[in-house]
Amino acid sequence: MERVDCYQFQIEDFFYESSHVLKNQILRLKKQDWTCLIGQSGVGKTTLLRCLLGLDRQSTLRSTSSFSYMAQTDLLLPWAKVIENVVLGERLRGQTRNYTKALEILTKVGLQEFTNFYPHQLSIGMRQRVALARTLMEDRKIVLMDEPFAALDAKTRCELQEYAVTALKGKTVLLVTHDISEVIHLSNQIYILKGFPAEATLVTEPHIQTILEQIPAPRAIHDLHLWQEASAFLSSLYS
Amino acid sequence: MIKKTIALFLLLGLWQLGVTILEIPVYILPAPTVIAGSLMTHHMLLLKHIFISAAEIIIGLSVAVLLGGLSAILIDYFDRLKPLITPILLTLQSTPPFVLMPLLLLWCGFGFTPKLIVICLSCYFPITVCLLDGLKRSPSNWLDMATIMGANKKATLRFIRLPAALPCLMSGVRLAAIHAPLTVLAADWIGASSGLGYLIMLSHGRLQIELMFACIVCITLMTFALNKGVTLLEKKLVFWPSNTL
Repeated sequence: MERVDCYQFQIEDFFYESSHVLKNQILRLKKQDWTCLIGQSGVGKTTLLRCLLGLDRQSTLRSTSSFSYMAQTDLLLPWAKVIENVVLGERLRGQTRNYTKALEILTKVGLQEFTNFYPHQLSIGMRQRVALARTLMEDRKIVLMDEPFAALDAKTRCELQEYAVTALKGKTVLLVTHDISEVIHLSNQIYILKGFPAEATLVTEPHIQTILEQIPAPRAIHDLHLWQEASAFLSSLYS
Repeated sequence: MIKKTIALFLLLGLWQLGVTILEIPVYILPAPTVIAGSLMTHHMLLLKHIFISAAEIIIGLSVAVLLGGLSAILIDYFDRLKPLITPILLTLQSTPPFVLMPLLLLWCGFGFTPKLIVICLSCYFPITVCLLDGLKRSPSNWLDMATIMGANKKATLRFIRLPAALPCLMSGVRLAAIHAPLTVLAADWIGASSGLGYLIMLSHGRLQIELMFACIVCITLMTFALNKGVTLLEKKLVFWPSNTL
């Protein structure tokens, strides 16, 4: 693979209570594309993300300035209004708050009417959209997402995925998930995390490659046969 | 609400009936009507002492919130202070504040100041400890988010950890609000020239048992109002549901 169109990250061995959880490895993210990281629950997906972010290191903290992060829970501050939650990063860094930009982003995720609401007055889907807006507000090159759609019902999830795809155009995204259909729907590149210590390997199976290369994401379910084949294959990777 | 009122009146009726039938003298147990009469006759006197006690409690509590809050923040922010301050806090906790009252009387004389100091001391500990505990338990995923955003320690404290610890601080204030009336009364008994505790001792000395009971009623009502006030303040400040994370 060419190195020019990739961000390359070195992940070091990671131990948790003297058990070797993550192997020393290199993770490559295609620039301005969606990479999905799949794997069974408990295999270490979140640990890998945290290592990437430099959160789990005892030693020096890696500069996180190129990452923004979206978690499974929205992590909104319940005492702050929607607009204040969106500008939180600027507030925490002591910068002047760009409310015009925040309002633009909130309009992008369809929440312009709700800027002065508190998080508990919104539905779960809307709250996750606020979290998306806060992630966009950070305006970093790489967006790491840790199952941000997992806690939502099917309809809300689709809706939020659409918002995310549109709003994150031009960003490099690493999406951690265990939802196979989400992978087929969104990714340009798939990593599977397996083993103990866990190692992420790129899925290069020809069937999948064809889908990933020939049908641009986000993919609709128009070719049911292809879709089924792909998900059957990806599911088989788990076992 | 109606049931509670009925229950209260039933209890008072029984009391009244018992006192009348058994012919208990007023200086042992006055009937509710006699106490009510005393409340009416002495209302100016009672109001004056209620006002003094309430002012002492509210000012003492407020100063304790300021001092306790400040110390908790300082202890949390400067890790090195912790081993220095913890023994002081523990000593304070183990000393019932009103035993210091005679000493404070010696230093500050009769009046407002020694009582204020005693109330402050009794409220300071629960407030400091509760806020410190709240700060210690900042949700780690919020802190991770702040780290990723490039936040500095001070901003994280101000915009995430302090608001997140507000419910804990309010628990501390509620605890302190229970301590405060107790302390102020005990302080009154040790040496004071005003306040509801002083009035109780005075009426006791003069065998005005009905006035003593009137004082007790006032203290109960005052404590009730204080707790209600703290609950209202808590609802106003912590307006978000607690299960948000």
